[in-house]
Amino acid sequence: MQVQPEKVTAEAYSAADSELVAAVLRKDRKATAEFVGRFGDAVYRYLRARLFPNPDRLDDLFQETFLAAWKHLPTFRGESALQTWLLAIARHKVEDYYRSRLRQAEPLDKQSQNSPAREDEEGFLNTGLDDAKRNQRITEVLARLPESYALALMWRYWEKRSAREMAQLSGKTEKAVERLLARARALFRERWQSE
Amino acid sequence: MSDELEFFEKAFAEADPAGQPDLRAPARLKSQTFSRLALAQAESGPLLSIAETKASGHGLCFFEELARIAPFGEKFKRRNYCRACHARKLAEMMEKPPIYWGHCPYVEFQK
Repeated sequence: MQVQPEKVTAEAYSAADSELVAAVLRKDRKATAEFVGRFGDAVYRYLRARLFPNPDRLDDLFQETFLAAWKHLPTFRGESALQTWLLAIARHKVEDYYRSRLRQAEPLDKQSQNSPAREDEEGFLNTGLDDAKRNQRITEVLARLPESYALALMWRYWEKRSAREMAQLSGKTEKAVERLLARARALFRERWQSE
Repeated sequence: MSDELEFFEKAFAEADPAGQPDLRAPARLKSQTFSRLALAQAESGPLLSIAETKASGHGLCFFEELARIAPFGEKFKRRNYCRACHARKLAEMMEKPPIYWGHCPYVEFQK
């Protein structure tokens, strides 16, 4: 079974997915290689974006995603495309990582309580940059923020988690997460203006 | 909503690099991951036999083909040959390992 993803329709994808799942569960070594080969790029792109700017754990989370997928593959019911299911596993791995990093960043959060964020200035981000340059600048500024601030912003605005969800997942209070986000936005603004 | 919050809800959110279509996983990383998966599969019981693997439409590499025709029992034909293959070691360390035979998964990861 050699399926070329670019040549199959969306409808055929489900059949291709279920064939591949069945073959991997039979421990067909070639199907297992195809499993990694077919979905590796999508999982990698997602993880790399979410571990930005410190991809130290990228290789580990990539492998852990596929190992977790293998472990849970018998429960895959085909209710979503296999790639969507794999990316959901990757998302769990990323959020576990965010949670652990934010817990370790506690002193920074406490420090932030003593210096309230300013969010009342208008127009500070209106630079007239085109989309590509603005996106590049956003990632450059983000890369220079303290890790906990960058993670908080990515979790909130790229993963689209609410402050309440972030609080539940990280074990912090909602207020603490909101404070962290406010500080992160404020420092982002400060760096944006100064660079 | 302030300018700042609007910026984060829209412009910042749109800068999400997750959708970059041209970014590919390194072949080395795919190789390591396949090796770990195959190892995990083998640890939980024998792999699908080489003959059944071929019957399901996959090509076999040179070494697997030798194993398939070798006069040994079924247990031998279900082994994780990649584990003992030098191609695996090379592919896990190098992005473009010098492996030139067909139907090797580690070669496929480079494409």
